[in-house]
Amino acid sequence: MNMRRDTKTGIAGLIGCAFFLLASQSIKQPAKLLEPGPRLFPYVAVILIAMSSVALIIKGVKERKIEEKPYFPKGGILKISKSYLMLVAYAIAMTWLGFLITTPFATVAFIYDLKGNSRVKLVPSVIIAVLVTAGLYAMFVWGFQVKLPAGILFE
Amino acid sequence: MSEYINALMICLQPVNLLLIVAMVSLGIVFGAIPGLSATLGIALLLPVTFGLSTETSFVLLLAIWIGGVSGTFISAVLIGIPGSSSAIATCFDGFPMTKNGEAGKALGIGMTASFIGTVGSVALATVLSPVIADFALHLGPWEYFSLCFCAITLVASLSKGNIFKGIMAAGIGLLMGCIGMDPINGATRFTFGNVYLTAGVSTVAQMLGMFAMCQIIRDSAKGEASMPDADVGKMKGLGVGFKDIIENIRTILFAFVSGVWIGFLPGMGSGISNMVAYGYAKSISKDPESFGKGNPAGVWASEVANNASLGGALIPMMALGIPGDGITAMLIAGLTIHGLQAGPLFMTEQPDLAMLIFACVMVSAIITYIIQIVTKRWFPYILKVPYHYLYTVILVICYIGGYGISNTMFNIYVMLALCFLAIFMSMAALPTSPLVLAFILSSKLERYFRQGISYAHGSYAEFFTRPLSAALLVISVFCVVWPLY
Repeated sequence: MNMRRDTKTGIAGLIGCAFFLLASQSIKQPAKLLEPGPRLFPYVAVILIAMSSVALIIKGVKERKIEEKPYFPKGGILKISKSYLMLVAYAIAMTWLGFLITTPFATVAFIYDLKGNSRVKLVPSVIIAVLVTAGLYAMFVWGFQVKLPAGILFE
Repeated sequence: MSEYINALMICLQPVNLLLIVAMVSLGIVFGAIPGLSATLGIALLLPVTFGLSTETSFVLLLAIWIGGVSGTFISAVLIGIPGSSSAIATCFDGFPMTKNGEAGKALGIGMTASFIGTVGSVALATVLSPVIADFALHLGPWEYFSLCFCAITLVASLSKGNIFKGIMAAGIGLLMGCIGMDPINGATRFTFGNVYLTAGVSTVAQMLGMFAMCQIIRDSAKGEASMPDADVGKMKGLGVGFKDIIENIRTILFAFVSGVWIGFLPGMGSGISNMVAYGYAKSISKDPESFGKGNPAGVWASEVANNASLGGALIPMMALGIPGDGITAMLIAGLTIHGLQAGPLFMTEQPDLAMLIFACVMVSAIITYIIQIVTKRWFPYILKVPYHYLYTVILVICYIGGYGISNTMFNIYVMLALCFLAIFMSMAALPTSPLVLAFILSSKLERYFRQGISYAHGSYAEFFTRPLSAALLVISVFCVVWPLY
């Protein structure tokens, strides 16, 4: 059966609620409080999400015969997954190798990933990547006194 | 008054003035390019402010905000694509004017109308905010809780499509706000043994992940990162005169009043005010048929209203500490980074800093107008910026910002997790505004609620027996129930 996005959202919402409801049990509730204590707001949030999830599931089931336009164009899911994995890979590489080594490579990768239908040449991209890395490093480290990751291997 | 003059002097110091010019220019670029926005600009600048003084930080953030909000009309006029939802109505007549060879005039109206809207509304906010803050000092936790609750329900109920999506987003925001230590007893919640989570989810990581990163990779996947060429005619001169203002004075006045009022209400803001003002301009016109075909009154209405909303949104932010929209929520986050809490106490205990905010907005609005007059002929080139280079730089800045929050990689991973959540939310058509507002207000909401009950010795009745609190709760219930019928 082809589920509508609302139904899927509702199901994901209910799964999330179950997880956080379970996690709420581990919140320590001080004794003899005049007020409801630290568990109240997590419960309120979970109830709000659960109520909305049920409403969305019902809406999705009611409207199941109505044709739904895909959110992404063809190949969009693959493209966004690739872009997201690239972001994660950059974070992991930066953790180990630091900002200065990873950023030029990541910049070239991002330029190619985000280019769409534009034409991009490798040499100008590499030059831009090096300039961006050096420029941002100078601006943040020397200009704004913001530290940048050195990388576990070089600390 | 002396505080305001002192604040003006701070803004006019050469370094601050240079920063305002630079940030306003950057803001105009961010506002002009569809997909980028003042919100994104502020999100990117928040980490930069960590190492700066409070005054300089606010000069940066406010200048990019004003430039960004004002710049949205540029792409609306030149290519018929609004820089943000606040300029949708500007497209209706601005773009036809461009097609009729009146791009210069349409841009001139956009610039002048933005200037009138911002300057007028900020002057009003400067006068009204201290008065409202004085009144707010007499309120108790019951009224504050109801006010925060009302703000969240208003935003959730105005969510596009379905109120349940708005409520769900608000619920997620509340849940995110619960992570870390609770504001009364200090009990840890949802930290799963992670010491970094004890301080809660960082607002900056949230903004960078959910707005900047998500928007860039989502737009790229949807193929929305390319734009048509602008068709421009005569671009010399301002394009409008005093006569044009007089001819459209009724439209301008209504647009101004409606813009300020709608901006004042949580969750509404410039996205709605420009449409309301446009509708009014059309209804009072002797030639309503000409609307949509290049009537200058349509551009006046839309641009005065959306910029007037900016001053309107400043009032609750400054006087009550309640953000009216995503941008003011970020500005409040900026205050928090520097250990300040927006609200009535901030207005009365630190009037110099409060006045600096108003003065900086005023100076930024004037500088924005001057820069736009000088650079008007180059506006079409802004829209030719290659997206893949610009977006790449923004992504790298996000990482720097994420690391700068606590000088650890942890917040970069939080940012990535929130980017994932934002992609899921956007696929599910869940709005982000209720989430952001609920997240920012969650600790206040909880603190006021629990304090209210403690002060009343365990009784919930005070919320319903105090007139203002009861009225706000009735409005909240109405906001939730009304969209269902």
